[in-house]
Amino acid sequence: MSAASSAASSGAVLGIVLVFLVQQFGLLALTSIVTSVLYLVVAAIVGGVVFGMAAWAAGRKRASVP
Amino acid sequence: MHYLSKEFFSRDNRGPELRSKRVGVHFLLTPALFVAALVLVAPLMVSVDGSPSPTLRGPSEQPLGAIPFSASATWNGANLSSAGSPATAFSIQRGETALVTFDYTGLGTTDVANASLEVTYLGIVLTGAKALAHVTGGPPVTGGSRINWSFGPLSNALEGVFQLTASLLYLNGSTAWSQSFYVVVKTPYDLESGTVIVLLILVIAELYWAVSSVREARRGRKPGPPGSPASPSSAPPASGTPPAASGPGPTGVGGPAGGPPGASPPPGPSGSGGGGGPP
Repeated sequence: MSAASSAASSGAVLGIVLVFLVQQFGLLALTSIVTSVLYLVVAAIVGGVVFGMAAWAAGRKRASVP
Repeated sequence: MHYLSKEFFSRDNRGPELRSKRVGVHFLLTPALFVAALVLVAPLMVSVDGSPSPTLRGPSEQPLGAIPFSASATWNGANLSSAGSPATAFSIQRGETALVTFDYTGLGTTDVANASLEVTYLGIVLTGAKALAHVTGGPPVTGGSRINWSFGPLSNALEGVFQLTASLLYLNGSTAWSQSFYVVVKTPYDLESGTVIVLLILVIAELYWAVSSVREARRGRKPGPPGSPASPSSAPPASGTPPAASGPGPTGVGGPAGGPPGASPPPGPSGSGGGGGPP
């Protein structure tokens, strides 16, 4: 497993956990299953993309340095 | 693209064909704008304040001349419609009890049997409470019910915003009236809830793993510092040196013991002299 994919999977889980945390702090209501799954999927995608891109960019930047 | 060009719309070219085409464009554009405006305004027309309106079912289709069925409910004296969104949710502390009062009126409503309150979370009914409804007068029939509701033992594990549904039920179990509203369940200290603590630990752990993965990626294509073992992705193992016959340390200064005499060993992953520079 590459570092970028590892960071992406961690980011995806982080996004899902953050949705539940926001609900626990009273800022979001997870009432219906469809809306909840939508929130969770979007958060997972956003987290995965953000951290995956960060890891990919970090590796690419370092590779370009002589 | 021809119709969008400047020459095409210049006054010289305006002929009957163009006019008819432009009228055609307007003919299509006007309904499209109307539909777009309708789509934008329709949600505002359904509910101006954003709160869900009560739902009447069953005998709401009263016979002509009858007083229509109407019902309302309050949470500690406040109307449920005032908590129609998570932002305006009623607040309840752990261990606290709220009094939910139901009132209904109308002819032909003597068969309203129960009042119920249900908590919905992720589409699942977590917990609920039910109380008998009683007729208080009439005609027209008036009645009501009261439920002393608390979140119960679940508040030790869960807190946050939850949707509750208050309903009046007929004898056969069908719903006469229902309204959804939101409640924020709070603990004296927000971190007291078990789920919050677990979620915070998970957030910290995932952040650590994600950041360390990013760091790994940053180091991945760069040789490590002298004396430290390089990461496997950056330094492929030296070929031709069996692991059992390798040198004394990971730096590979000694060279293979079983190699031919006088032959210089291949450089190790981090160099034999501690250079560690880029290849």
